[in-house]
Amino acid sequence: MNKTAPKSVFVLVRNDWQYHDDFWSGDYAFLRGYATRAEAEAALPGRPLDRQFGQAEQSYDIVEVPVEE
Amino acid sequence: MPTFVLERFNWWRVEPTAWLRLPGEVALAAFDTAAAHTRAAELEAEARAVVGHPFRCGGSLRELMTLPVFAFQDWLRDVGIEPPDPDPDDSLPWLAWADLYCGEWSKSQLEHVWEGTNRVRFYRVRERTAAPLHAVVRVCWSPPMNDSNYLPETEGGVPCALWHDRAAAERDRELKQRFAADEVAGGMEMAGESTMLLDPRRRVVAAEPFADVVPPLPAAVRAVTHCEVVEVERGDDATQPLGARAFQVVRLGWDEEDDPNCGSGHFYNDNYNNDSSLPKGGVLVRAFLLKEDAERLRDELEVEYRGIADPFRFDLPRTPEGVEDNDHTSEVLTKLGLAPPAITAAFNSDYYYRRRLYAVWWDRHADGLTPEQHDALWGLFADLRFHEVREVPVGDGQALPPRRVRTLYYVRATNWIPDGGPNVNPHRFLGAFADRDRAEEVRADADRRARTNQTPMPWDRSGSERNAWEEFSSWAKADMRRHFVARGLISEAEADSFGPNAYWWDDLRPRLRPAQATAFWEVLDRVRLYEILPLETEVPS
Repeated sequence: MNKTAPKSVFVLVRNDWQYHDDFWSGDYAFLRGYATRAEAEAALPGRPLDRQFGQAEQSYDIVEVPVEE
Repeated sequence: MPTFVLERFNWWRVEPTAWLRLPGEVALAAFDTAAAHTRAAELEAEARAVVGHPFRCGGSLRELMTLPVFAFQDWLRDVGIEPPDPDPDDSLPWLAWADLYCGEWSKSQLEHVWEGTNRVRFYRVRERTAAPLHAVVRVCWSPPMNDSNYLPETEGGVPCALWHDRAAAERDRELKQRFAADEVAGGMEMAGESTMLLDPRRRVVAAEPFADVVPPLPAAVRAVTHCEVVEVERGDDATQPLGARAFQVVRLGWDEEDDPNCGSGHFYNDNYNNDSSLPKGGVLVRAFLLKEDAERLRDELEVEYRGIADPFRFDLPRTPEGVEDNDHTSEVLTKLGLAPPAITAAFNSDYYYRRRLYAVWWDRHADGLTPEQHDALWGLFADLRFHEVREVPVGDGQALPPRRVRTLYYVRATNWIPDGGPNVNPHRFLGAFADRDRAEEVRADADRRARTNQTPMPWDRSGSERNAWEEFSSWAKADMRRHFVARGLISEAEADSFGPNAYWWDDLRPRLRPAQATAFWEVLDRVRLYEILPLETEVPS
């Protein structure tokens, strides 16, 4: 039996979360899927503003997701 | 065929009649012919007409010319211009003298003065022999301290990617522009700043140091530029192809201090304290295959600018440990045989006032410094830098198989399960599916299984009351209570005050019959434990 490696795609995700009054609130923004992690990294539009003293905290993640064709 | 690139030296208009030269150049246009030289000459003449005379372009003669002072004095006398007499403190009042007498100089005398001040040049033409690369840069916008409209970096941006192919760079820019605009809009909303606008004024004004421009009005977050494509050349042998990564020399962007104790002509840079958490903008200078080649150019450019610049316009001196210490600075200056500026105790703790005093001190002493004194003074600014090397991905730097964009359907657990924020709340994708029906099948199955165990009211555990009943259900509360009484979930007696919460559910769940569980979930019709996200995905063709 031929065993093939599981296929994956890589999703570029933006975290729009903030921590306030002892809990996190916010959500993710799922932007686009890519065939490789390197391609997803190359798609990053720079870095979100670091507000330092503010509540808003944004960042980007790349999430590997199994794909079923 | 070579290309001629018209560049402007990086002048900053610090006052209506005062300019300072910051490091580097700004590329304005590319010409296929030597017509670039004609255009440069026209612009140079226009800039000279605006500036009036070259002594408005720096504080010391070192910033204006390569001639030593005595030689420049002779240079002036050659055409019948008598240089200024020294002031009582032995300094030479070049600016006041030129302001007073330049109106009396003939056209040829003024030309002669411009010729002697050979560092005051506004434009140049550079020949380019290899095709440029195309960089996508992110323009960073941030809210100033006084909560007014968001402001952009004054020039350049954060290099995000490099492309050989212009069309590919433009496609990349379009996506990054969309991502970045959404990101800034999201950040503004989270910070309660959704009504603020983005004001491009300072970027537009900084780009036109010799013209009075009417800046565009502030605009909404999606109407301004967040990403742009700029050309950048290889600084090494362009025949050696770049790989997946390249190294770019970046000239850091500066903005002018606005503290009144400082006065005009003092600059700051958010990158200065090496805080890597801040966005890092800048202007791309050259791209390299090898990091060491990029670092070599960076070091050369640092030395070149340090040869003419006044360091006190960018910071105060620091000890080897990086601490501002006026006593240490005075000690070093004294050892060098230089009289430190007199700073009264009242101003000793005023960073901006001391910068102003030291800048005046520099203007008076810079032209008489020996090379050893000059180098020792710059040694007090070990952390001050004007250029950096950044590693960036090369979008087409490796042979990738062709891609096509198709919509995949991603099944994902929603944030109903459980709350906790990005640190503990994973993204929880079950998978991506080409077929929407298959995705729905997986979603429904996961949702069914989760309902047997999952509390539908996770938010209540925080005790915050942040979620209204309407977020859980489209049912009126009275209807919900009647429904629950009818199915035996609650008694008639408790119906009047009943409101479901996570603790009630945990207590009830082990005793629930399947029909009751179904009845319960029927009411919580807005709780979606799993969802389907259609998402554009670049897949192999």
